[in-house]
Amino acid sequence: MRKEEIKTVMIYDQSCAEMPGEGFCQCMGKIRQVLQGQQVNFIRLQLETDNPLEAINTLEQEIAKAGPELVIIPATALGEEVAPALGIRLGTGVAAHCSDIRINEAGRIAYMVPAFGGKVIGEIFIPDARPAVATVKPGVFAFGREALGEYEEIICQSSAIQPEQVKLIEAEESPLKTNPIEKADIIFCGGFGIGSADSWTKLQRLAELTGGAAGCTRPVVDMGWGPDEQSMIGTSGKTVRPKLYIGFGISGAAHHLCGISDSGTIVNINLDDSAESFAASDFTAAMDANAVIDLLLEKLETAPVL
Amino acid sequence: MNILVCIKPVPDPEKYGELKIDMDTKRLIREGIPSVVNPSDRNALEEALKLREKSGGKVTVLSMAPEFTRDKLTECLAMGADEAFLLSDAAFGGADTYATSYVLAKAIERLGAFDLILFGNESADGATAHVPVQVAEWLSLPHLCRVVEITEEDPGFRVCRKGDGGRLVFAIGKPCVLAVSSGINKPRFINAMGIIKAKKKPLTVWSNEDLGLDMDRIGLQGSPTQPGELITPHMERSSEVLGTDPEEAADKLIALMKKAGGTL
Repeated sequence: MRKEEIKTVMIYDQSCAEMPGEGFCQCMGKIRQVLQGQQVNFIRLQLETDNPLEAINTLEQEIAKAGPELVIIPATALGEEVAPALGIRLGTGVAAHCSDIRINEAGRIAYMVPAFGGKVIGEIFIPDARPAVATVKPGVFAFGREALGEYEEIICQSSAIQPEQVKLIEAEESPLKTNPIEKADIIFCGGFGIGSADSWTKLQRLAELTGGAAGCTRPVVDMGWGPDEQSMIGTSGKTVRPKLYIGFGISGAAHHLCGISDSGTIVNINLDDSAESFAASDFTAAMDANAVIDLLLEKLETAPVL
Repeated sequence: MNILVCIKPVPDPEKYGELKIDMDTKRLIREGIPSVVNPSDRNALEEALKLREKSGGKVTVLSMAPEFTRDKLTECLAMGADEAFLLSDAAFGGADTYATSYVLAKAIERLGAFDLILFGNESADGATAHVPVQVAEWLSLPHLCRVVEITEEDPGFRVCRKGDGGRLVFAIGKPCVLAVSSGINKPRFINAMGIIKAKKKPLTVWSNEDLGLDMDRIGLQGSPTQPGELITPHMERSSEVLGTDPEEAADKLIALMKKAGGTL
């Protein structure tokens, strides 16, 4: 696929709010950048539903009507179920979790997708099948409202009648985080090396004291030390870009490092100075991460307000 | 209940740090990295075994993979599955999720009727999370991903899924395809008795001669996406030493926090 070929791009926005969602802004910014110089009609397709089957059915119909060459779907829980289903229904290719979309030397559109936990990134091409479908994780592209430009809107109402085969019968909303990690300027990130739920609580306290946020790696979630997946950073979690990232007890698995690589300053504190996280850091300290956590708390709890 | 579990042998995710790209061929060097059953697929199998313990029936395991991974299916039999099928043919190679799910769906049609088809939510290697949904779509079956709880409830299942805003509970008809998250259960260990029993359980290998699928629907040729070059992301930074003792490190960190606009 070449950029000259693209006349219509449809981007799915899971929110029907008047102002487009952040994910939509991020994707619009990126696609506009990729297709610079082309006359392209952008469509914001809006549908708010928790039922994947309803989203699949609606998107299938709207895509048939609008005939886009490219469809972008946010890789949220819902979007991750919608995109591959559309792939089969429309007989087309889906590029999953693009970390970048670019034009290669031969002028072809390449979707850059991570594999092996982010250790490698592979080019994916969708040469013939249309529309090409690509999913993008929220936060991967750092564009805001200023990048929006002009677009058309298609607003779809969620139906009161649910599809017979898959029915939503209960929805339990998790409480919204006061300072989500994707918006924080300072992140205190705990890895397996922090060793306990107690240390996780201390990281949260540090975040509170500094107006930052506490994040973690997969093992901290799996060990049950407190955080849920909303605090997890990496290819299967959140992508963050704080001004300052401080990692405590983090070995530096590729899938975690991928989620922080756009951070301003990266610091890692870990007993093991051969940790892979050190190579990806601006500053390192080879020492007991918990000792530093305790000292920071001591100093900040008693610090005079500046 | 007749349950099918689809599994994928993957290079051991614990060893992804050792993966390198051959600069000449631009291909991944996988030598020395053993295959394992994809982690969340073991959760899918565990869930199937638990459902069988509760309501009886049969658990069949299916995989499309190179013949050398057949011991991974034996492992599933040792864990407790009743029968296994391996789809193995050079013609299936190079398939993207579209062509892979097509082969799996055609094999499932041939295997007969199931009440439930289970998958792990995503593979550790490609991690697209496409295949469960795509198999379901080929078979025109309802599907749900990121499943964290399954209860049999007439006429189908009550299924808990992780949504974007919290937990969602669905009623889904039978038969259906469910992709489970790794948090759903703790897969059981394989014991000696399981290993002995596994040797007597049927493990069938089907090639494309058995399935008779058109060559332009399978493998690389049947794939709407085509892979290009592989790159390793550059993440190296200067790695300056922040401090040699916790006191010095903590002071410098506080200075960095102030610089980053922390409310100190």
